[in-house]
Amino acid sequence: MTSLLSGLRPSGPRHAINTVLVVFGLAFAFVYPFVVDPAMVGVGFIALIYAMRNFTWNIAGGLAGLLSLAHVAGFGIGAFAVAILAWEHGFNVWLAILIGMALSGILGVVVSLIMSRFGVNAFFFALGTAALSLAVSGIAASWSVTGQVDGLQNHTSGEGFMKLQWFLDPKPLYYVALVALILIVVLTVWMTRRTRFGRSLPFIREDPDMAASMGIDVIRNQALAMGMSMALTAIPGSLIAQYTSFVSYESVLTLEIGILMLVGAIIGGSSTLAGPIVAGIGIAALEEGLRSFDVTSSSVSSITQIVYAAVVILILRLGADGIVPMWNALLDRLFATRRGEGERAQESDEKETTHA
Amino acid sequence: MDTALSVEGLRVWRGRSEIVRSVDLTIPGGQVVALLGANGAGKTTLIEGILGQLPMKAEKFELFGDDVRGAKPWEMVRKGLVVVPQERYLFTDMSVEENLEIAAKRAGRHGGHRFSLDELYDLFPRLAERKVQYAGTLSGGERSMLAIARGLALQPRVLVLDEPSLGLAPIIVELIMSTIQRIAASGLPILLVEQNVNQTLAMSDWGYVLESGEISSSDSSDALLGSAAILSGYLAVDVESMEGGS
Amino acid sequence: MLMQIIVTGLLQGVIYALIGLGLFLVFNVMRVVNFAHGYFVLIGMYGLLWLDPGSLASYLLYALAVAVAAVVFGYVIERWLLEFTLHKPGHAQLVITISLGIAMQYFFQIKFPEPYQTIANPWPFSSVQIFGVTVSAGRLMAAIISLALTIAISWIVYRTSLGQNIRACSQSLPGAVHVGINFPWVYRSTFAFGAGIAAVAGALLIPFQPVSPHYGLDLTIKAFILVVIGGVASIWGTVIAGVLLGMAESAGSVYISGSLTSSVIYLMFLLVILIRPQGLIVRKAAFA
Repeated sequence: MTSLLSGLRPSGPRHAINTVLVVFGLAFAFVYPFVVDPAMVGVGFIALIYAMRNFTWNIAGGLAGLLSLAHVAGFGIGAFAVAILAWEHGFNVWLAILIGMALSGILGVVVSLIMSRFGVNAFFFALGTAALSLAVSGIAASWSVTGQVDGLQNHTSGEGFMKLQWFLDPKPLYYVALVALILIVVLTVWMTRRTRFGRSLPFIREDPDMAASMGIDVIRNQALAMGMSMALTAIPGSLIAQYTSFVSYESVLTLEIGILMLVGAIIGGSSTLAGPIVAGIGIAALEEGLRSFDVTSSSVSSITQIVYAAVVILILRLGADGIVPMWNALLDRLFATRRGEGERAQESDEKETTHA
Repeated sequence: MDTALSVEGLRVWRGRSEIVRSVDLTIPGGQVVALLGANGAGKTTLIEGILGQLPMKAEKFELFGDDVRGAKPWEMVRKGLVVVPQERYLFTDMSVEENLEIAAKRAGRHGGHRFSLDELYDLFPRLAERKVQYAGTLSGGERSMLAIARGLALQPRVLVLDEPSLGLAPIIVELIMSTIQRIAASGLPILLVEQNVNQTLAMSDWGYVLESGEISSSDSSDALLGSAAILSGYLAVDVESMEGGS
Repeated sequence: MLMQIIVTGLLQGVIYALIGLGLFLVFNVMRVVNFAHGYFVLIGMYGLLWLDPGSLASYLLYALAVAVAAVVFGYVIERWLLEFTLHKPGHAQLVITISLGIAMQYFFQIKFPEPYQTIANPWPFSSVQIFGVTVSAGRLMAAIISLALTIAISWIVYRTSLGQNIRACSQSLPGAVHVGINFPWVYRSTFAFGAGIAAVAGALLIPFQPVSPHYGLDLTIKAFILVVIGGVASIWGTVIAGVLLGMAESAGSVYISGSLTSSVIYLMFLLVILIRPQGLIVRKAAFA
């Protein structure tokens, strides 16, 4: 996976195969809207949203080791930012998105700093962020600014890139989402390989005390990771708001969404870049598959949640790290005889600093 | 006199590391055996392996003739192998009496030495004075005593003591060591792990020296004592200053 | 008005205490943070909804049945999904219990799509007056039985051998190992027992408390609140915390809206997590 951006120099059969898969996947993603039913383009968009938010969650979760259930707040802030600022008050939607990102990022930083200050461990971090999400959700359900129980509708008109809305054609938003996802991935890869901050994250995740003794400012970097991760999570929130033209606390701020992000990233493989994306696309495909069997829409979401839960429990029970790591292990096993010491050494170097 | 405990080819792992590699050790009935070694030699790991707390493999592992390979810790205790650990692991929010009672209740039913509660309070008068006190409030020496007493309350057929004198003042060490001698005199086979070389060898019949997970010496205590010069080299411990307790 | 708050809060709080107690036991013995605990309560609620008792006798019988079902379920979960995560680093335990809760929530969602259901009052009277406040039979009996069960559990923990084993494991697991306690067995029994308690609480709630699938999450968080605030060291601490929570909730729903009350409670909980966790982690939680 990492080889793609390090000069397309595959370092072994597994990397070669994965690189090919990524290239094909990208190509397919670009032509997708033109080769499928118009109705399916929307599904593709949703898949990209799921993939994106799993991925952005994973920056805090898989990379930095912060199992956060607060990210749905970031997602919701992104959605409500465009709803309140652009739909209700006429702000430029791009500005609204940026404001949403900023607010979300600040929330992430604040949450992380407060938790660090009090020395909270992983369980209570998860519990505390869950409580925070629930609180935010409850406030949104009672606050007129966020539309209380009914939510906010998009009553604005006009289409186009500046307004980031197209009421009849899902294709432009699809491409916006695709480009956004690609940019986010590239940004993340650059960050983890080229910045001190990014390279410190695996150490913080594995052993914060040792990281601290290595001179890493653990608290600051955790806060930065949370902030960046939350800010980026606002993007899919904003995009989905523009797509559905409607937001309410129930559609974008439920704890279930937050759990979905966490579980999705772990199912896909939180130690990889592709994992969260694969899981996101997979769940969208599953939902669509269920719908095509005439399952009612409420049952669709219920069944997919149950499947998600069962899959992650199974994966953990098997002691695996997720679908993509399992795939990688499978490839390694198939090509076992070809792997020499050199490749293994190179790989363990790569594992230290990045996670492909 | 039958063999209390006998193990051959014992290997014990901590996580992925093999700490104890291929140890042969025997505790004959009615004898005190010393297990010596520097810090980090693997003494505690060896004991945890024998009790079944850590993954272990052995070619032969018998407790009074019964094959106990793969036995779980509570099964070992039931069969009469009692370990008094280095960290004591007392029930801090229970009284001295309750700590002893909980052990007495789980005593294996076999012809082990009967240590009734009265006899235990006889052996450790200090504990009798503090019957209702919470174990968490005892002094270091008292904790060691309670740990040993609790071990005895389990009616052991073999008793393993992991550094009973650790961190204690010389006077207390004396007290504990002489109490251990009284226990040994009752015929109970004992495996005594200590860094306190001189005293331990004086009290025991046989000694093993553990170095980096392997037995480097196995001889009668007298012989080992005689080779004190070698021992001080192996253990990097000044034999002369042993009196002060390690 | 004030009386209303106090009486309702007190009664509700006692029930919360029972729910919290189940989680308290599991947490103290196993250090497991069971995110699905609230959903175990739902086993009792939905179980009785499904069985639909027609008389007091059948209600009690069915309540017992769901408790047994929950005990078995709890045992299976602990044995096959949780045990392997214990004493090991990593977050598997957290993710597994969260996922289990979610799976249960959506299972109930599919089987019982209609929200806010209750069953008919099974008790032979419909309501009583306490200090001028009308209290439904369901709520009163639930509180009374919860209190009785809490006392019973306290007795078990402090006066029986099983309870002694539970306390031993919670105070020093290595100590328990060294005195020959079969601790996996203690784990399984405790977890199953906790599930059973939760289901009984659910059976007690359903005659007057409407159930929806997401109620499980709400109950889980409340149970945690109790364990974190009051129950670290003692059973009765959990009870007191439960009563306080019940009254706070009662007061909240009178003066502000329901969902805002919940939000306030969650934020308070967040505050408590910040101030308390050292006490939970550093000090090996023990029964005083």
